[in-house]
Amino acid sequence: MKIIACYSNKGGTGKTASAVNIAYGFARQGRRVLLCDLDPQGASSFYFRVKPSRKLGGDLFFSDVKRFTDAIRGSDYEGLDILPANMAFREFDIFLARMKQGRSRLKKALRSVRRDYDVVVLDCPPNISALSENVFKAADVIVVPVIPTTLSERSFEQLLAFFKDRGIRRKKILGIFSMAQATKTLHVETMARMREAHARYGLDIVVPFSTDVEKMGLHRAPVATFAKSDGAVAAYDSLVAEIERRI
Amino acid sequence: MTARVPRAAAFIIAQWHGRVRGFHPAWAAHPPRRIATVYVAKWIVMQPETQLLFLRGAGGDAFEALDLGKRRLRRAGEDEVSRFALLDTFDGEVAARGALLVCSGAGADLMGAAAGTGARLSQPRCRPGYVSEMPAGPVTSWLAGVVSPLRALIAVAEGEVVYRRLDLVDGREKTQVRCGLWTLHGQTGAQVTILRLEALRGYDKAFRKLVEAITQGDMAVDLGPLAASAALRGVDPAEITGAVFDLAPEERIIDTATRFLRAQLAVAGRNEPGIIADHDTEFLHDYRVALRRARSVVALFHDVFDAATREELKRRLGALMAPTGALRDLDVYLIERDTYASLVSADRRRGIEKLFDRLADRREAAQAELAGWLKSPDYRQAMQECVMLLEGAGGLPPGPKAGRSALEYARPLIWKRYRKVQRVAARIDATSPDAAVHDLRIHCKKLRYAVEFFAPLFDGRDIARILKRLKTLQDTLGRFNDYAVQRQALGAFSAELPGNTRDAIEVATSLGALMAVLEIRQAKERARVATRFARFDAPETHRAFEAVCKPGGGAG
Repeated sequence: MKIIACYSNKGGTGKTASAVNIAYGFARQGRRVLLCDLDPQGASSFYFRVKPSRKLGGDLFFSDVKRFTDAIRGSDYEGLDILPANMAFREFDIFLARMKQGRSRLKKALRSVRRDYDVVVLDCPPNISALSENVFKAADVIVVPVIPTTLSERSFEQLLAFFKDRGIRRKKILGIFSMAQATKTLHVETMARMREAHARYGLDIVVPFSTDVEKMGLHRAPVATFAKSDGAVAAYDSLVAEIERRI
Repeated sequence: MTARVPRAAAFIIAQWHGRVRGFHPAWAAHPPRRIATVYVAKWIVMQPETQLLFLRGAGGDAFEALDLGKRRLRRAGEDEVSRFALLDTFDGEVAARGALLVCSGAGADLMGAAAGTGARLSQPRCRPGYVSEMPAGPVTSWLAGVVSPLRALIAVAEGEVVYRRLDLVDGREKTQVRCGLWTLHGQTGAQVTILRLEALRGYDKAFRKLVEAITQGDMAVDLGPLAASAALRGVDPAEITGAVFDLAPEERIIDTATRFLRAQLAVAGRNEPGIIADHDTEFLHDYRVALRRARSVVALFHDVFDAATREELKRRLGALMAPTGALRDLDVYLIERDTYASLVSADRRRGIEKLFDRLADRREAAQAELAGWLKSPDYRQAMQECVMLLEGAGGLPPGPKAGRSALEYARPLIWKRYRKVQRVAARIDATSPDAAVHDLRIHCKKLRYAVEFFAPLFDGRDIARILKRLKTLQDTLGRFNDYAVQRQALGAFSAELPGNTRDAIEVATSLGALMAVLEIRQAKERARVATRFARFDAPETHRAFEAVCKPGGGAG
């Protein structure tokens, strides 16, 4: 079982869209996928029309295996299950702080389903916290979407520094450009500069800005199900292939 | 999403105060107070709930009309119409195991609670015939464990099937349960609907509510797979699996016997088309068993009908039975083909194969001849006359004991047969001729028929005890007889071999080797007769017979 995290320390970067489309991409290939929505806002759960998991609050997520597995729901798509978010998830940090081995609790919880899934995709909340550290430790690949602007560049570098500081393997990071617009000089220049500086951390794949991706919220479905020839769809396909190569 | 195959997440946990904690090295530093905590390997089975329901008629509309509160059934795709064939053995072995095997353009679907995961197994191809000759797949594997290797799957019903897919969705259009409806329109006019429900992971509650709505509504979900199969076949379920002949203890024995004879003729009649079509060897076997049962009743209950009637029945049934012997004998040999080959050494095997090739040719000829007979007007007339004789108003002319109740008649009959077996066996020792052993076999058979016929009137445990002990004795006697018969038949084959061709010599040599082996085996069985009889003659058996035949210790 491999764990793919979609993480960004900024909001609105296309993290959830990536998580959803990556999960769907792997399921379409015949893998058994679990999409775990760790963001209390519950956007990826919304995309799959799944209601929040009411009974999975507090530290039960990490300690009660039966409740954890009981909260999993089958999506409408073959091979893809969802562990929906709920508001209580915003308290993860409090509970993680109390638990022993607080940085490995997520990995342990996910291991309980290792025989049922080939791939687990984590949709993470946009912050740096005890939960994020858990994610960094547990994940095999960490997809980091970056909108190619100056502030994003800075954020990315802060993230790299954080990893270094905590002794987490930076090789896991797979940066992708998100919502990129080739018509904007700022985007183009930022992408070129970041590629040069951080070639080791991906930044090959470019997910172009796409109104279809924006419409995922209307359709409530992965973009590939309704916009097959979109440039973003092709980019997500390449992303899935790249992740596959790494795991 | 469906998790089709049961997978398990297994990990070692310690259960303590009802909460689950992971096992990790921290306990080395902070050991739990009670070391007696149990380490349990907990398997969490992730398998979606599935249910299969069989309904009368075209249940689709009633299903879609169900009131499901906030949820609704939404069609997924267009209806698919195609032709179907329902495959099963003539005696409904698949239906008896709780499944229907539906073959259509889309492939073979085995629908049933016993059919493994998700109540449904599928494979791309399936065709009538023996399971051993079917293309490999999960359906074939299931069938191999269920269907007798001697019975072929035949198309027991045909018609049109309409397949409809529906999803149960909630207020936000989330699919919670996937539903499949197969409406089978049989050629006989019968309609059966198979409804398959599969919950998506985590939606068990919605699943249960749907099942509740179905079973509490007015959908006719009371069919089981056997009844559904029977409906499509246009027959009574009892006819398929072979109903137990029921006895009324107070009924006049002549009425019981007449009823029984009629039932056996009906069974024989039902097997005729299968013999003619030559689907498998069991049609002829069941045909003969029915006639044999009828004949044994006529012989055994000899003072129930008057003498002339008894003679007439014997003659008529014998005439129906006679033409079937040749084919049955050949079938039996060919069924044992591999066994015979294994009895001789490797260098003799080719000769055996050649023998059997000849036998197979003869078998084809015998089958054609019997089929011709069964299709002939002479046969139809013979059968018809037999049936009319038994259906005659006023019943058959009675013998002296015709008026006794079944129970009254049964007890002395069984006792008499039992005592006869004891007397015949007592006269046999190691030096007795084979004919005496055959005689014992015949009397054991008669005793067995009598006990089996009247079994429903008595205590199950006594009957079971008697039959079990009788069986061990009969098995030995039966094998003894089989070897004798085989040796004789093989001797006859040997005599028929044409001259000195190389083939003929090879076959003759192998036959010789085979007959030598059979002679040794026959002698072994002969040696076992005494011990087997002793086991039968034990005090427990005697007590069981007394309980059956002489209840209350009085004279029977």
